[in-house]
Amino acid sequence: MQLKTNNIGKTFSGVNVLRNVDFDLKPGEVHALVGENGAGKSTFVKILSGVYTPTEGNIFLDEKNVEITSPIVAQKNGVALIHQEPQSFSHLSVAENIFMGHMDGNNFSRVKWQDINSKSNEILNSIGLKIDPKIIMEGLSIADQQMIEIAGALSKNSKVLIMDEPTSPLTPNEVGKLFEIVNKLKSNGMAIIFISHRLEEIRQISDRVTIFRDGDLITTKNINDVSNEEIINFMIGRNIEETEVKENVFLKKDDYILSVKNLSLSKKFSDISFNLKKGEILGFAGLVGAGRTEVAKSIFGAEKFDNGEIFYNGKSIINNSPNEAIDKGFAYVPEDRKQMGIFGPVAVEDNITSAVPKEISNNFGLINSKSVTSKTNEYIKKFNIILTSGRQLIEELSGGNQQKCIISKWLLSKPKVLILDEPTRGVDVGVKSEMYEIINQLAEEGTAIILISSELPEILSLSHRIIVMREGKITKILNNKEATQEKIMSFAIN
Amino acid sequence: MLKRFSIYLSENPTLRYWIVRPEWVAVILLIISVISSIQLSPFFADLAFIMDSATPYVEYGLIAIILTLIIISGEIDLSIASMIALTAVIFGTAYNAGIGMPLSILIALLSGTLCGLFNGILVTQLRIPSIILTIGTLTLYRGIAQSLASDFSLGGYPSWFIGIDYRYVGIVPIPVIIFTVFAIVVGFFLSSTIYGKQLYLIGTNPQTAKYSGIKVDRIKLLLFTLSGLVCGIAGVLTTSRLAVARFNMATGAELEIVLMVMLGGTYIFGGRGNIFGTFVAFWIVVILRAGLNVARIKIESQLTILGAMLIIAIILTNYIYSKSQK
Repeated sequence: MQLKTNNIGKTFSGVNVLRNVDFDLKPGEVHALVGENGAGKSTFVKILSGVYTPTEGNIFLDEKNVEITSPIVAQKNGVALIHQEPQSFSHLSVAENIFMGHMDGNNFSRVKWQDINSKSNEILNSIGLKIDPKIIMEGLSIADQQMIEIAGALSKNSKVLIMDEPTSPLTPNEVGKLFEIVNKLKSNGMAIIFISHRLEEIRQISDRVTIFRDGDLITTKNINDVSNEEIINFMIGRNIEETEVKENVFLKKDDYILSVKNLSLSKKFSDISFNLKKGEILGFAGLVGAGRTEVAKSIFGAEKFDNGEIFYNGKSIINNSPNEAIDKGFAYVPEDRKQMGIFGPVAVEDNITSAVPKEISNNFGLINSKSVTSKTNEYIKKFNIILTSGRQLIEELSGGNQQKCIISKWLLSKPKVLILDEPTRGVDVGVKSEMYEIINQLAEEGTAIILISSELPEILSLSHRIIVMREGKITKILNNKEATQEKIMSFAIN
Repeated sequence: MLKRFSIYLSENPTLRYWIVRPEWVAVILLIISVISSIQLSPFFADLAFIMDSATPYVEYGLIAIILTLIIISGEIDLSIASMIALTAVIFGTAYNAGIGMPLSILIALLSGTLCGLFNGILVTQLRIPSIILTIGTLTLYRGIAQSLASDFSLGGYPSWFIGIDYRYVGIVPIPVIIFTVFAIVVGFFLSSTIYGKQLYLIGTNPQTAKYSGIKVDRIKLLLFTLSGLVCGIAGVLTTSRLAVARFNMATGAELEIVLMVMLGGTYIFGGRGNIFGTFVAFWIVVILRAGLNVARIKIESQLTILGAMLIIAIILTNYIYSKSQK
């Protein structure tokens, strides 16, 4: 075995994100890792490459027990990580990038350029890459930069190569080229871990596949002994809670509050069309990076779009800024709570009232602090937000309570269209179910809701219809009745 | 003891809100400088003397008030001193061209406003960090002033215009009244209106502010423009006080104005601070400068003391903010 792990586990501030991983990797093997977002595969490869240290368990390289305490230790032990987005020094030469961190100097520490250039040339030739090692990195394609990162790994005599979704930024042509190189490395005895969401690619390149789910290693199979359906089933598991989606009176009518037609933004999403009724919860499923958040931001006016049209109550509209969108009745609970959702060192009551300046001030702009407090208290009570007082700083609250504050803030603006982007991320189970109740109740009151979530059970138990996106396009619109996790996954990955 | 007190405070947000504020540092510094100045010379017990000492700093004080707003919103304007000089020189040139006093004042204020607008447009539209941009316009505006006036002193104003610092209401010079009223008005605006509150939110997290529908860019543009206008007012006031306008007026004043804002407890990274702190810090600078003059400490050494105070102010402010919120 080139690499073997025994009982590897990782805990982050009390939360167990990886448990009992027993994994092995043979020389000359391509071993695929698959799993949903947050399943633990990234944490696992970060442990192997020294970014994280495991809380428990052992790692064996070449049958020797090693402790990989930092990326440098990983490198010295022959483990190299190829990042999804190549991490290169764009103003330095190809050769400098290949030998970054281990350039040998002469006695006066002067770099032996000829040596480095000729060695780089050798390595590049060995993987069939025709690039002059003296040219500057900037201007090379992502694919070439990725190859050069691989060349860097070879220059360090790496024995284990970990590739984290290497194909996602590549065109099909470039993927073919990458696979040629992977096959060449494989025949030279390199052990390769390959992470991808694209099952077809995994089938094409790998020998074995290991499936992760919720921090557990579920199983390892020879790729020829397992079907795509089986892999998907392993990924989502069988323990699905079935909850009834709540119907309401608005859904029977046929008037749409929001219609999006052929919305496109170059390199982010294209040809997005959908309708949304009052009182409807429309789920957006897909993998991270499928373009769901970008669509939401364009509708909300936080980003522009290139083509297409948005109809709101039958009229064509354009939101040039969130401000215009909010005036029309849109609200957006962002995915990145810390960066875009809260004002950290600011009182809860100022956070909650931040989107409704007119509600808390008179015509001259004078703040009515009584109305600030009463509006805040109304929602603190309604949503059972746990805090000492409205003056407490929001950053001192737990993630779930912060999220309740953000929802309160948007409900104060009485939105007609509420966009929720990963509303329960980093929120504990109790708050999660409270949040579901709130979402259902809003729909019953006639609010149209767009629910972006990477958790399939969440999408399934709330949404009346589900839009599945993949790589910037809508691949399927499902009714709740026909939707299953398996079906959604099969449209979310190819 | 201290630990228990801080735990007690974290359980009482309202009390903490009032106690853990860096402007108390400014108040304590003010008391210390008053006491030590009185030790130095009996003049300091005389309110009229202090008032008179304050008039040369009023122009800086007015700008410090606006700069407080700019720093709270997460930006900075370092071109302020150059805008004083440029607007003063434009005023002097216009008056000497014979277009009359009212029109000359109007042109001075207008040119200041345009300078500020230019800063604001580049910061908000081209996304140039204001600290870099206003270092650039600091040089640019001073350069334009120099090309306009060369090394001449532009004078020749009517006597009613000269010496605004010698006009009093009771014992209070008119510039000090202007400054105090301005501080009260802006302080009220900042603390009690929704626009003031939005400045804090923008400075705390511009992204969240944008997603909350706050017109971040428009508000910042307005602030920079306002800064230019107030510099124009300061330019005219300075010319009245000195009776001449020169290109090298107020050289290095940006240091002293930033000092007033920092000393008053406004947080350099935005989101926190207030006008009361800046107002108190203004008086610290006045008394310190007067005290150092009375103690016959050379101007050159005074700069060392002011610089050291700036650094101490920043360290204390940061320390208090890091204690008051985790």
